Amino acid sequence: MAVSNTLVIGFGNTIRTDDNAGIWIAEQLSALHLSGVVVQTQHQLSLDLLEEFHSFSRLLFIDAAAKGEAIIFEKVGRSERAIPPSTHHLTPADLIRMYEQLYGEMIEAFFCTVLGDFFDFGTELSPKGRLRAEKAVQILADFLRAN
Amino acid sequence: MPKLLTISPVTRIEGHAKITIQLDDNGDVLDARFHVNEFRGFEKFCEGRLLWEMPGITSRTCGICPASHMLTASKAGDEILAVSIPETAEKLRRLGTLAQWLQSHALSFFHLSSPDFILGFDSDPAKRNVFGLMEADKEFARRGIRLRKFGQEIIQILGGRRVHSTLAVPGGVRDPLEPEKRDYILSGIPEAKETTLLALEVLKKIHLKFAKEIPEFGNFRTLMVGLVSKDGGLEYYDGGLRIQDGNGNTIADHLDPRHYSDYFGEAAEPWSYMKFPYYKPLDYPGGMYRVGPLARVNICDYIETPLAEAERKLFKSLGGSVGVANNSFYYHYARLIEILFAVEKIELLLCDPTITGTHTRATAGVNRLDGVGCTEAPRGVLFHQYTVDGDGVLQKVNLIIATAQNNIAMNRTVKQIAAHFIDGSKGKVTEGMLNRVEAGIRCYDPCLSCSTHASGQMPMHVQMVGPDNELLDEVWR
Repeated sequence: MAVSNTLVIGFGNTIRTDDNAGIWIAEQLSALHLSGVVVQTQHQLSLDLLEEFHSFSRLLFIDAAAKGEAIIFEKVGRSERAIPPSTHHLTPADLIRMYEQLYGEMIEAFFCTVLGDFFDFGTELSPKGRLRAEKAVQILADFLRAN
Repeated sequence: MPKLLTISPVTRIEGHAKITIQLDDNGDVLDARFHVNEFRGFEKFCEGRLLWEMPGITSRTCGICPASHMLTASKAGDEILAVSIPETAEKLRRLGTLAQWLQSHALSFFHLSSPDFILGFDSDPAKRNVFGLMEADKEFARRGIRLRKFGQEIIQILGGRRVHSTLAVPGGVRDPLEPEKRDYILSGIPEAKETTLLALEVLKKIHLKFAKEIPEFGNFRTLMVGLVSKDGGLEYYDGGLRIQDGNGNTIADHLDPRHYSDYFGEAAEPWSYMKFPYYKPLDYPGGMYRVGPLARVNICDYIETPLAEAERKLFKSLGGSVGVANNSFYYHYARLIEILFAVEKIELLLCDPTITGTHTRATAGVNRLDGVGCTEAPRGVLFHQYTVDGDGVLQKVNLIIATAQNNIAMNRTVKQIAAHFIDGSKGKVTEGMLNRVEAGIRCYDPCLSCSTHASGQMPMHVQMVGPDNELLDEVWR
C-alpha cells in the first residue's frame, strides 16, 4: 500500500458548540485539498484507528480544550500512563504508544488543541471559539504545506 | 475486627464505579456491593427538545453503543409518527444493530476481558491491561482491533460516522446503501468470521484453564429477559419479550415491549446512582433478572445462522439437565456466539437485493403523543419511552438501559466471588483476589455512563470495612 504523508484526525462532539472545534478545523483543512494530506473526523479516539496509521508517515490530531492556552500545537510524546482508564478516553499519546507496541515502529504525531468558550447544545462554534479555530486552520495549513 | 475493603475504580469497564466488601469478625465476607458513582440526567435535559433530535441526542449517552440508542430512539419516533417504515429501512437498521453488537462485543472480549484470560488474574496489574495484552500477544490484539474496526466501518458506511452515526431517523433511515459500499462490507466478512472462530477456540481453552474458578463467577439462577422472534428465534431489533426462569421455564412470552412498565419496576438504593430494575410480579429484589448475551442465547429456541446455531447448542450443554447456562462467566461465550451470528447475518442481509433499495423513509407528523422504542443493545434489551406535545416537543423521557437491568445480579455476583476468593482472616487480601471481583463485573460488560445516563469518572475503588464500618483496607485504581 502506498504511504501517504499525513493523516489528520479532528475529533469532538458536533452538537456541543465549541467541542466541535477539532472537527470544524479538520473540515476546513480538507477543503484546502493539500497534497499528501488525508483528513478524517471522529467523535472520539478509538483502538480501531490503529489499523489505519501504517498507511501514513505522520499524524495530526485536533481537538477542543476546556482550559489552557488559546491554541496549543505540539509534538505528541509517548504515553507513560500504565492503564488507559476507559476506552472512552484514549489520548493521542495512548494511541501512539499502542501503535509502537503493536507494529513495532514509531510514527511521528502532532496534537493541536483549541480553547473552547461554550460547550452547551449547539452545532455552530461560538464567536470566540470560531476566531481561535480560524487561527488554528492557518497555523496547521502552513505547517502541512511546509512539511 | 471487622473490615471494609474498597475497590475503586473498577477497571476495564465503561464508566465509573467502586466495590465495597464488608467482612465480619472472622474475616468472612458479610456483604459486597457494586456502587455506581456517576450521574448525568439525560432523561431530564432531553425534556423540551424535539422528537426528531432524539436519535442524535440520546446516542451521545455513550461512545460504545451509540447506534443502539439512535435506533431505539428512532423506533420510539416511529411509534409517535404512527408509521410503518420501508422494508429497506428496516433491513438497514438491522444491519446497524448487528454492526453495533459486533464492535461492542469485540471490544469487551478482546480488549477489556482478555488481559485477565491471557495474562492471568494474578498477573502484574501494571501490565494486566490492553498495553500488556499487546505486548503478550500482538496478533490476537490486532485481530481484535480489526474485528472491531469492521463493525465500526459498517456503522460509518451506513450513517457517516463510526461513533454517533446518523443512520436512523423517525420514519426510517437517512440514506440508502450504495452497491459499491455493500460489496466493500462483504469483502470483510471472511476475516471477521475467521477471527471470531479463532476467539471461540481461545475461549474454550480459557474455560479449561479456569475450570476451578469459573463455578464461582456469578453462578446462580435468575430470570432471564430478552427479545425473541415470532417463532422463538434469537431477535435483536424487534419481536416480543420472553421471560424465563433459571430452570428454563418460560414464565411469560411474546410480551409487547410497549407495555414494559407493566412488567418491570425500578428500585433505588441510597448507595448507587444506578437504579435496580426488577420483574414486578416477583417484587424487589426477588424479581432479579439478567439481560444481554447470556440471557438472549439461553432463552431463544434457535439461532437462524448455521455456525452460531451450532455454538448455541454447545453453549446450552453447559447448563446440564435444565439446559440453562446460569453462570455469568458464560456471558463471554454468549458474546462470541453473538458476534458469529452478527457476521453471518450481516452477510445474509447484504446478499438480499432489497438492501440497496432507495425508498428508505416514511414521512408523517405527530400522530400519537407517546411512543416506546425497544431493541436489543449489546448489553441487553433497551427501552426508550417519549411523551410529546402536538408539536413533537418532549414532555417526558424514560430510558431503561440494559446494564441497569443487570444491577441486582451484578451485586449478587460481586458478593459470590468475594465470599469465595477473599479470606480476611489471613490478614491480607491480595490484588489478585480483588481482580477476580472486578472480573465478575466485567462478565456483564457494564456501561455505566449509559445506565446512569451519567457523567463523571469511572475508576474503581474497593473498600474492606469491618462490622462497625471501620475502614480496614482500600485499593484505588
